[in-house]
Formats: sequence, structure tokens, C-alpha cells
Amino acid sequence: MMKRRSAAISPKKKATLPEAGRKLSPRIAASVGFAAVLFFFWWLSCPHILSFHEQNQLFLFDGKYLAERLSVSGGLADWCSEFIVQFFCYPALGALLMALLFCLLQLALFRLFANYALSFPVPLLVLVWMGDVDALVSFPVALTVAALLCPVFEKCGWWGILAFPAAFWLLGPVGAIPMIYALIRRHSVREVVSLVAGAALCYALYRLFLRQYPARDVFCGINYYRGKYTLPALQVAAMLALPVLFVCDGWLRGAVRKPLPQALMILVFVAVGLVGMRYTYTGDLHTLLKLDYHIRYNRFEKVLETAQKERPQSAPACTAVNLALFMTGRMDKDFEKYFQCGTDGLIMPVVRDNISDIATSEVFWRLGLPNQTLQYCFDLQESIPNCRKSGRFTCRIAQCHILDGHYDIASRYLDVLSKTLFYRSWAKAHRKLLWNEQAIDAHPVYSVLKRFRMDEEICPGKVNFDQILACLYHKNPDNMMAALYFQAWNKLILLEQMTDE
Amino acid sequence: MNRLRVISAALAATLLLGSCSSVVEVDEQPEIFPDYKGVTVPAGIAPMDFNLPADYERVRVEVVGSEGGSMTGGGRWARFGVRRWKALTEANKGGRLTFRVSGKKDGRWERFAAFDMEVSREPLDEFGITYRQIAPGYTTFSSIGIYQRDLHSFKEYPMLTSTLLPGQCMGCHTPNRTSPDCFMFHVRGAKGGTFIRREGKSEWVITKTDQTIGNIAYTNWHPSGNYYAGSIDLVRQCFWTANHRWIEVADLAADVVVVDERSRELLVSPELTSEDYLEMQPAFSADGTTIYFCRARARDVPREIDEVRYDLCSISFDPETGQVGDTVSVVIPAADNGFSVTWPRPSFDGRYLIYCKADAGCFPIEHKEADLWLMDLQTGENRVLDEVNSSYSESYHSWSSGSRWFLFSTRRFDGLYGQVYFSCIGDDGRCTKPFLLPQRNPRAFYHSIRYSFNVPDFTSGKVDLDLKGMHRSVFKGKRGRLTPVGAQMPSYAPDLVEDELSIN
Repeated sequence: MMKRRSAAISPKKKATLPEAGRKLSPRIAASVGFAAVLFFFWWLSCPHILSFHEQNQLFLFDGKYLAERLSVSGGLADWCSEFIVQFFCYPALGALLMALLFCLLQLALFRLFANYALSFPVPLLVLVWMGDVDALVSFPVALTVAALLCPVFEKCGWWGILAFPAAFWLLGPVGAIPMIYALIRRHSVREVVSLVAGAALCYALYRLFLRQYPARDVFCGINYYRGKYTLPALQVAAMLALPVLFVCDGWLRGAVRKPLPQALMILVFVAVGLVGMRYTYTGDLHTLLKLDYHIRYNRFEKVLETAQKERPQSAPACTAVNLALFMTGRMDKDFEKYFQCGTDGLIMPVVRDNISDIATSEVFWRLGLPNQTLQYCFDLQESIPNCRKSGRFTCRIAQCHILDGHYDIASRYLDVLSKTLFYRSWAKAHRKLLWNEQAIDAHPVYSVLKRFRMDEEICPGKVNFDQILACLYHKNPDNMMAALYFQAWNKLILLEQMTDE
Repeated sequence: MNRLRVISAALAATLLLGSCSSVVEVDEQPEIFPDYKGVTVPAGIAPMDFNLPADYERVRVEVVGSEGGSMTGGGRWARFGVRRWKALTEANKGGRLTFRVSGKKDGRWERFAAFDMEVSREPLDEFGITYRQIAPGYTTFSSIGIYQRDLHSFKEYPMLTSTLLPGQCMGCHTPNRTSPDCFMFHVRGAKGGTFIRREGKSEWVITKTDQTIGNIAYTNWHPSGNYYAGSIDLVRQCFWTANHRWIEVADLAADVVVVDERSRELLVSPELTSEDYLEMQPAFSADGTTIYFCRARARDVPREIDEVRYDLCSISFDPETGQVGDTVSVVIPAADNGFSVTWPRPSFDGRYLIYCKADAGCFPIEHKEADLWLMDLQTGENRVLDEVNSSYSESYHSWSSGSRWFLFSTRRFDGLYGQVYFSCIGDDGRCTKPFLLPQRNPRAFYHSIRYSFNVPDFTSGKVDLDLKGMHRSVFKGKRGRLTPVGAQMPSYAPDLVEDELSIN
């Protein structure tokens, strides 16, 4: 059967080497510039998002972990993305990896389009989408690999029948894009049959191995998005955009392919992207993430700077700010200068998500209430919507059990952390504390918290929390946090009463 | 012939070990995990793999049956082939298996004194067990699922997991006397309901009515399958401050009701729905003419949370008319004696009843001191099951269909994660040393798993739950409703709102 080259999409003309170099160098420069901008964007503007991603997973160097990922469709993309995300605990490194990933996506798409400018919309769309902090890196990873596979699928012939379901299993529904690309490029019966037969095999894979997932999740991406109730419109748009752009690429010919129109198109795409990012990368949640990011690394002055600049008005943010006020020694004099919302701004009640209670868990830890810390951290971890575990919360949970003297349980968590790249040295250091009361009593943190912690079994539901603060202070007058929080608690109650009157 | 086999196996092992390096004889039995020394297992159980302490690089085991047969196992842990193991246990029913373990440490083999494992004559004909896997958390859980495990192999099958029903809690799979064809489980959340499979049909039912304060939980089937009893509870959790206790669970209000599955009537009896008492965890007797349940005086919770103590009570039930008797008998006056009885489970042959005893409360899994007790229903004697209890909590026990084997959940490893153990009760009422649910490489499995085995139960066959349309039926499907009949439900204070445990 003669191969038909589609008239809709014309191949790139062969050029001499110097000519090719002259054509390519501005484009490569644009791609490198794109990567550089993204690097600085992620590093300087969004380290809190990188940190949030990192703290909502726990990548293990473990055969069982890999097997679990590969047991569902999209698993390879998940595993690769989680491998990348573990490096986000170093913001500069995380930013570099994200920039490289997006640049690779753009370059992979560049190979597929005759119009260079058309290689930008999808990376920009995904960039806008990733302003939603539940948008996972799995999606751009899957898209990048799919884009790299497009030329392979174009040449694989009847093997496409098997390659398509294989791509579906490894990358998720984005694995259909190479097959669609091949169909658009070749316009032949073989590709149509491969697409249909491959789709049937994908459906068979779903029925045989993925019965514990709804069809919507399987065919729209099990782990492209952390949340489980919604199908983000931008994700769908990005998935559909590529096939549309493949078709548009053939229509945009002639003068449009000259450098100036291409540059103008890129500018338009970037401008639209910037407008989109204005909406997706701002808001109360991002402010809260910034506060939490600084708390995570004990930069309490930065918490207050952020609060002064962005003026958050939510209870979780208020808890973070009050914690920072105490840690910087400014609670008694600057308490009223910041937004307060009653006692919930000191100690948040349980909120079933993976962010709101983090500052409160830090407060409990520093107060010497490991059981309450454990409760909050455990629930924060269990609130991660895609059921992943968290390195940050697992560390704190292990610490609580060490403080409680539950060394068997702590050992279990330390063993898990030993299988990670960035928590293993922490786990090794903490393993020395197990069954070693002397080492715990000499530890700068545990020795203090052990003196603070309550020996009395009180159920906070039985008494008000200010009574617990009073008990903590009564037990150990060095527990200034308990004293100041008790004062603040009563101040806020008084304010509430005055407001009611 | 048998002696010849023992000698040849021992000779083969000696030659093998001798050819590798010198062997040191150790007079003691090996320290193994799980501790399977002296346990009694049913014939056909999955291989009882075990580990030596972590500093042993290799293990070799010779197993010899007292009634014949032998096999070897080993590797990084004592690993046994499934077919050969099952054949060996079948051949040695009523006999014993003798294990001779050798472990390699620091380049040197150590050969330990032999230990035995008994193979019970009592069959365990069940296909396997069902359980919920859930993180031992507080108010939130993400990954949760109901699973079934083949007891004759290591195969575990998910029945229903939270990936299929995001945002919904599920659990409390309750079969009727281990039947895989008559069971129910609950799904809680915004689209919750109770799934009931019975007489070849499946349906979803909302068990909350206009007159009741919540959904029915802690369900138990009548032997006929025509009724089930359950309790309607308003649950509160409390979290302690010191390091001895984590969570306490208490009922603000609780009532026991009976549902006639045929007519979908909710039978309300004043004796089981008193405002002055908390009635919960009903269980039908083997002949279905008695309902056992737990009852405590209502207290001001959480202020008096440590004073809530449940008696074991009973009341008659007429399966012909669906009428509950009008006199409550206190079978075990626990509250007056300073303890609390929960989770009554009569055996299906009517001989025994196992219950949990703890210092207080209705949630024994959170009570370290909670132990299993056995009541002989023929003699009325009660005794603590010292032979199965540990210094950690034991609870969630269930009987096999033959009423000889029972399983229970315990936190004896670390006080937090629950595991499943099995034991057999003899004609003399004594129980065998319990054994842990077998796993491949058990140390690695049980040390790394971050879920508890919750509410386990036997299943006599593999449960065939058709997942096709399950998602749709939960989120968009119709629900049947119950109609309260009989007495008026008590009216509780309006600020008592059902607090469903939230899910991710």
C-alpha cells in the first residue's frame, strides 16, 4: 500500500545546514528563554507550590511502590512525576526540573508542528492549569512522553494496535494522543483500524484490571489531578488542544510561517497565558500556602512579612500568623495588629483537608501536646485526596510516637522514611532515639517537649481548651507558649463578648 | 515408614548443611515472627511462612508430619510452596508438623531445637475472610476498602474500594452466618446507603427514617435471613492528652432496632429504644429467638465518658411475628462490677458466646485492656480467654460456620495497627494458641502495611460483588426506604445531629 502523505500537513522542507541553523537558532533561543523564565517563575514566585506538591507525597525507592504505581493506568507517568517532585524540597532544584520539563514538552511539540508558535499553547495552558495546586505533575510528564512518542507512532504501522493500549496503560488517556497524531498525519485506513482496535483494547484493560475505578477517572486520568470530585476544564482543554492543533498546523501555511507572524502568535499565546495565570496563581489558598511554606522551614519573620503584604483573612492563615507572632516574640505587643477571628485563629478545629490545620498542628507540637499533634497530622495526611502519604506529616507522626514512648510504631514510620532520598538521613538520626531514654532526655527538642507534655489524661471535649493551656502552664512555667496562648485566648473571648454586646 | 522419612529428611538436611559450612546446634527453639510455635492450624491453610530475626541472612526449614509427609522451605525467610504445604497439612489432620529450623548468620549456620505446629481435626471449610482495610486514624480516612482473602493461598481480592466511590466511607460487611450470598455493607457519605444482597437480589436502602436519628450500624442477621438487627448511634470521638490513650468513642444516643427485610419495616420496641439507656450492638442467638445486646445508662458525654459501662442483656424475639419481647434480662451486670461488655457474638451452634470486656466504653479496639471472654451458654459460666488474649486490645471477633474456629482483631504488635488472628475451640472449651493471618514474608508485610484489618469475618465462599454499575448506583441510583412500625422512637434533643465520619 502506497504511503500517502497528507496534503493537510506538509513536511518541513529540507534546508542546508547553515540555513537550518539560522532558522533554528532563534527558535532554540526562544525555547531556552522560555525555560529560563519558567525557572525564575517557579523558584522566585512559586516555591510554596513546589513545597506543597512535595509534602503531599512520599516517593519510596521500593519495588512495591513502583508495582503499585504500575498497577493502574497512567502509573508510569505518576511514578516519574513523583520521582521529580521529591526534589521539590529544594526550591531551586524543583524550579529547574519544572522548567526543564515544560521546555522539553515545548521542544517535543516543536518537532511535531510546522508552525513553531503552535508548540507553545499547550505548555502555556498546562502552566496556567498548574496554578491549581491540586494539578499534578503527572499530567505534563504524560503529555511530554506522549509528544515524544508521536513520531514513533507515525512509523509503527500495525503495531499501533498494541502500542496504543500500552501507552494508555503507562501514561493514562493522554496515551491516545500519539495514535491520533499518526491518524492525522497519515490519513490511512490502517491508522483508523489501529485507533479503533487499540481503543477497544484499552476498554478491555479497564474492564479487566481497573474495576475499582469509575470509567470517568480511567478515561480522563486517574492521577492527573489530586482532587476526586471534579474534572478540571483546563485539563480537558489541554488534552483536546493537541489534536486540534495538529489539524490547525496544516491549515496555517504560507506567510503565517514566517518569523514575524510566528513571533506575534507566540506573544499572543504568552499574553493569554499571563492573563490566565493572573487568576490561577493568586487567591487566599496561595497566601495560605506561602505562610505554611515559611512555617515549614521555620522562617517566621517571613510569615509576618507575607501577612502584612497580603492581609489574609481566614482562620487557617490567622493561626499561622499567631504562631509566627509567638515564635518571633511579638505575640504580646503585635497581636492586635493582625487580623484575628476568635479562638479559631489560635487553635483551629478539625477541618478535613490537607492544609487548613497544619499551623494548628505546629502549635500543638510546640505546646507539648503530641497526641493532638498526632491527631491533626494523621488527619492531614489522610486528607490528601489521591491517598498518597506525606513525608512531612510522616516525620511529625514519627516524632509524636517517639515522644510518647511508642517506639514500635515510630520504628515502622522511620523504616518507611528510610526508603526515601531526602528523609532517610533524618530517619537514621531519629532511629538512635528509639528505646534510648537518655538520648531523648539530652535532645534539644524532645527533652523540652517531654517536660511540657501533660501526664494527665484529659479529654479536650470534657474541658475547654483554655483550661488545657492553663494545665500546661501550671505543669511547667517554662511553657511560655501555653501562657501567651492562654492570655490570647481569653483576650479573644472577651473581644467576642464585647462585640456581641 | 514415617520414621524412615524423618531420618532421611534429617540426613539430607545434615548433608546439605554440612556441605556448606559448619553447623552450630542451638538448644533453644528459634525466635520466629510470627510466633507460630505451638499453634494449631486447620488443614489446607495457606503456608505458614515465618521470619527469623533480621540478622539472619538465610533460613532453611525441614517440616515433617507425624502422620507422614515432609517438605522443606527457606530462602530469605521460611517460605513454603502452597501446594506441597496444603498437601502436608491435609495428610496430617489431627497430627502435628515438626519444624527443624536452621538460620545463617555471619556466615555460619545455626540449627535450632525443633518446634511443633498442630493440625486440627476440625475443618475450616470457609473460603476465606472479609475485612476492611483502614488507616488507624481519627476523623478522616482516604484510602479505605473492603477486601476478601483466600485462606488457602495468599490471594487478596478487593471487593469495594474508595477509588470507585470517592468521598464515601464504606465498611461493616456483615454476612449472614458467613454466607457470600446474603450480606450487607454500609456506605456513608453524601450518597450513602446500605447495600443488601439477599436471595439473589441486590438493593440499596436508606436505613435512616424520619423518626430515627441516624443510619443503622452494627448490624447482625437473623439466621433465617428475613430480619436483621442493628443499632442507631450518635457517635462522638474524644482525643486524650497524655500518652496512654489516643481516642475514646462514645454514644450520645443509641437504640437497637430490628428490620424485617421482606416488608422493609423498621420494628421499634420500647425496651430497645429507651431514652435513659444506650442500647447497641445486637446479635441474634443461634436459634433466632433471642437478641443479645449491650446496654448502658445514658451519661453526660464527654464529661462522664469513663463512666459509660455496658451490661450484656437479652430479650426474646419471635421470628414468626417479628415481635420483640417486653422484658430485658441482664445477662452480665458489667456496669455494677466496674467493667463494660461489648460485641456479643453467639456461636452458630448455640453453645458459646464470645464478648469483649474492657474498663469502660463501647469501643474496645481503643482500650488496651480489652480482652475476649467466653460464656458457655449451656452452663452460664464465664471465663477470660487467657490462651488468646494479649496485653493489647482484642475485639471484633467472629465465628466460622462450624462454630469451632473463630477469628478476632488485635493490636498486639504495637498497640495501633490491627491484625487478624485465628483460634480453635475444643470440646473442652479451651482455645488453641492463636495464629496470625499468614502472609508471604510476614515481617516485611506486617511492618510496612499502614492499614489495619478491621471488622474481619469469615466467608464460606468467594463474594461475587458485581462492580458494574456500582458507581452509578451509589451516586445516582434509587434507594429503598424503611417504614417504622411499632412504638414511637424517642425524641432526642434537637441539637443532636448525626456526625458522620467524614471521608476524603
